[in-house]
Amino acid sequence: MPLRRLNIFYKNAVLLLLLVTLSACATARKPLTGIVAGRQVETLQSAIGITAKSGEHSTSGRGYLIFAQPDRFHMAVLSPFGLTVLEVFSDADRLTCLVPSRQSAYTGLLSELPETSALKSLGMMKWVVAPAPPGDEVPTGGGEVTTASGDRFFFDRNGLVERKLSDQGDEVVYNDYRNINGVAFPESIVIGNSLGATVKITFEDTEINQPVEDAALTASLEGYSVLPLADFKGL
Amino acid sequence: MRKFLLLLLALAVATPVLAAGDPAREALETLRRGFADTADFTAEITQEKQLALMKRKMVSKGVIRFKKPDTFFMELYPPHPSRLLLKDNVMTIRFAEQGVTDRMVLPPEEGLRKWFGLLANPVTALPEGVDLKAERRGKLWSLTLFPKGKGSVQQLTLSYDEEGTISRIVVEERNRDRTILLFNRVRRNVGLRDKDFSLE
Repeated sequence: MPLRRLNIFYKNAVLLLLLVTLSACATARKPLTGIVAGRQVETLQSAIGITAKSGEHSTSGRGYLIFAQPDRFHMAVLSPFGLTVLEVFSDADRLTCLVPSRQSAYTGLLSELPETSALKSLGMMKWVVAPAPPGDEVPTGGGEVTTASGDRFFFDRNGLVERKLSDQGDEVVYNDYRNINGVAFPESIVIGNSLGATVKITFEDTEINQPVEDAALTASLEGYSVLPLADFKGL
Repeated sequence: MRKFLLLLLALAVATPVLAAGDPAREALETLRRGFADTADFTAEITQEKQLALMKRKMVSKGVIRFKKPDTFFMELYPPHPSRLLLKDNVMTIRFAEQGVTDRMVLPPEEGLRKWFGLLANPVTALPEGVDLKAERRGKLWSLTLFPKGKGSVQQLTLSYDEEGTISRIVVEERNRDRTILLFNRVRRNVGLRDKDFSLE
């Protein structure tokens, strides 16, 4: 796979993880059938499909995502033969990328990366996971709400967020909510930035608020050569 | 991924130099002979991915096809469908639902044509950089490959019958992830055509 494509995939895929998982909990405001009021996503485990597009370049893959509030996740990306080609762990500001085929680990703080780093796009995550306006501000029957920060939320007739726009032109679209363990959760989410790049994640066999062991969110670096995060240039 | 394919091919074309009666020698020869007598084959597959840190498995189903001299195809069915075509040293992966096609050109020495061309000519050395362990129970062979040095694959075990027909491949990764490929309805020399290798 060309390096450029992988870079597109990587920088967007990492970003998406939290976008989807965290933002979904903010959107579960009005009940689908069986939705439990106030219940949010505390943990998530799901098989995922990821597609990233930027200009003429695009790539796709599948994998697995584990997430736990407030900001920890573990994503595994698989090859068509099922081998693990990339694992990404995030814990607050720390990001660790494991490349099993090279037995190489790249770890560091996002805040220490140069502004030109592709990984800096993770900064968009904060915007995506920001909570939606409270339920009493959501128009009955759906509609638009603009926050003081300039974000525009579009609600469907059930009070679920269909999409969100930033004043910078970034967009998040949530598709096909389902009831999973009492939480409204989308089957897929599409993130688009102001430059036209998009990333779509689809979820399959999703488990919400089931126990997640700490080890599942902690990178094991045994046997790996540990390198600075800034050295990670893709697969 | 391509190293995974190469490991399998290296096993298939290696004519062992071990002493006669050695299980590994007989196991390798059985496998090599099976490939050498095969112009094409098709099989249904079930792929079970067990992440070390997860309790559940990810299960995918699909089909693989191969045709001499240089074509390999694998299709995985929904929920995450994809089609992979390896034509000599050019690998293309098509994700039709997403409208995405990835293409990768491997070094010429890693092309399928070279590897399968070797099947007709006995090789005088084992694949370098691996240890082997073989065991036979009745008509079923179990051959385990232990790659030396770095890399994600810790060991790879093939199960096949006395005709070299593979029924199962188990890949153990160093991160303790495990992938099992189960082969069903394996058919050889069925006269596969170009349309059986279509990415669309």
